[in-house]
Amino acid sequence: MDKKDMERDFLNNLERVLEGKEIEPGLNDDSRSALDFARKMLSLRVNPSPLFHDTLRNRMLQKIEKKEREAEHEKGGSFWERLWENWKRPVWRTVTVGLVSALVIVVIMGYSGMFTYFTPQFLDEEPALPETAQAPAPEPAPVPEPGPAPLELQAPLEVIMSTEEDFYRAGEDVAIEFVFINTSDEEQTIRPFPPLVEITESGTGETVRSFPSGSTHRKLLPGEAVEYELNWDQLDSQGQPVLPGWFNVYAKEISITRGTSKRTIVMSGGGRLLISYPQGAMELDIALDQSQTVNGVTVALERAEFTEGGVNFYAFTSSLGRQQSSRVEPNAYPPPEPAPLEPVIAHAEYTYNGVTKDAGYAGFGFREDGIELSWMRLDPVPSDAGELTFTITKLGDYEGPWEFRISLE
Amino acid sequence: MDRPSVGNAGVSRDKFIELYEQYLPRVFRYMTYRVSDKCVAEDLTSEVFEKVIDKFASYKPGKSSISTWLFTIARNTLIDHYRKAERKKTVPLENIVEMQETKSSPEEEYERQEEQQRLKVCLAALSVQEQEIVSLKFGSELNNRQIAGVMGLSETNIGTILYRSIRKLRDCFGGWQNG
Repeated sequence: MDKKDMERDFLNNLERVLEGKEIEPGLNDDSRSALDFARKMLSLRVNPSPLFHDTLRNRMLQKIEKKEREAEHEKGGSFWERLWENWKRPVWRTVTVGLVSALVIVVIMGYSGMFTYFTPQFLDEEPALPETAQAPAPEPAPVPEPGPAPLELQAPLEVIMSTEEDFYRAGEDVAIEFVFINTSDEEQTIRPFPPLVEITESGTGETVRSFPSGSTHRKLLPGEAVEYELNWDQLDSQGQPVLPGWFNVYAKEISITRGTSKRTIVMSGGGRLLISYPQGAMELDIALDQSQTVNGVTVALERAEFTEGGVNFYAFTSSLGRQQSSRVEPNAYPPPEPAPLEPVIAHAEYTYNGVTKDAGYAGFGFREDGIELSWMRLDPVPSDAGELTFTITKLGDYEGPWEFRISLE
Repeated sequence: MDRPSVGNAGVSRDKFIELYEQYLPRVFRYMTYRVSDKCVAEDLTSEVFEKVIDKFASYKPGKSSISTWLFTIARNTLIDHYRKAERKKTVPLENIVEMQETKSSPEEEYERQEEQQRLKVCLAALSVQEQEIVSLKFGSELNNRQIAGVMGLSETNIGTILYRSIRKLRDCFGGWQNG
């Protein structure tokens, strides 16, 4: 079998794998193992969260509505422009001047009393009905025929989460306000009311506190809004105070039933909030040049940025990123081309004031001589932290720890 | 009943919802194959649909299919993103662990996360063109002809690059597993 045939068979079977079908028999081992791997690649497929789906759809539909309004407005403008253009033509000017003149004459005659004599009675009083005539019963307003259920045109509920402050100090009560706005053109019922509210750590996604839903429901007229306020004492579900950092607050599983269609959809909505330290957050930008070598792998921590909104760490290694077998032999002649750099996975955590936080996996970038690693948007650090330890726990296949102590004095 | 469209050639709400429901998961997956941070993938997906609304008037059905048009927008959005990221020289990976909900044990979950991380790293080690084609194939579920339309290459080229890329990925991942 030549290479072209192998490629064709591989591609045919790749389509089968993507459709969830079995691989055909008779393939060589190389193609079969590549196709098995393709199946593994499918595990990277992830779906957008329902929250993202709903929020984006709502936002996009609002954008379309805004564009429609603008288009309508433009249409109005172009009508007047067209009118002006037409009026500039001699024929239309003559007609307009004639009409205006006639109107002025009529008004003058009216004021001078010339029309009084001719005023017909029906202008002053209601016409009398003949005695035998019955006042016709008012006709009932036509009831529109129930047509086919309309498409769900837009997310019918806007959920806005807000807090009074930009951030809260640890221990302060956090006043969270939700506003639910009926953005549809018909009455709707949301249930349960108030909805379930969950607070999760932004970094780990772990739920720290749930506020159970109520057992009632609320009817909302088109455009009507209802508010729901809750107070979070910054305690987790075990009654322990949470550590400062970023949190997501979501109103979840809101079931919305539309007035006439009786169709129900479920959606969620929310936002983020920051709990800061009572003493404030560290604000520093430190250039570092610390190197650590563990198991023959050298890593340099180059920079740490501390802001009110979070912490970033930047490191660099030239020890990893190239295949072992392709390393350049020092005495080889001519010197072979070095293999291209490949990224490595790196995991880290950071500790200050006895608190350890997971920094997660690093992002990476390339320089000519090695790999940059960065951990971004981590939870902030208190302003009185005297020292911070940044620990890379794993780097590629190598176990650490590469520990860096950063003085924050 | 179709609601009025924006101007003469804008996207109507019905049409948009149809496009949105059909393509949101595919655009989002395409983005998650190319960027590891879920928040960034969401931002880029949002940007794509913003552009769909803004540029719908310029879409010519006779010239390309809607999927080719839409994924060309997605691809250009990603190219812009990487141009901006080039200045920062980093590709965030930190939120990868948030991407899937599972009900496995902590050990299985850890292994799964690490395996996914390695898959991502192997994917990132491919050339940009190879990454794009793999992402359009696996993330966006386009066929080779549609990918050819988005990439401006021949269908045969796409097949060859896919064949080569998947074997490269397998070797990268296998090398890791075998230590």
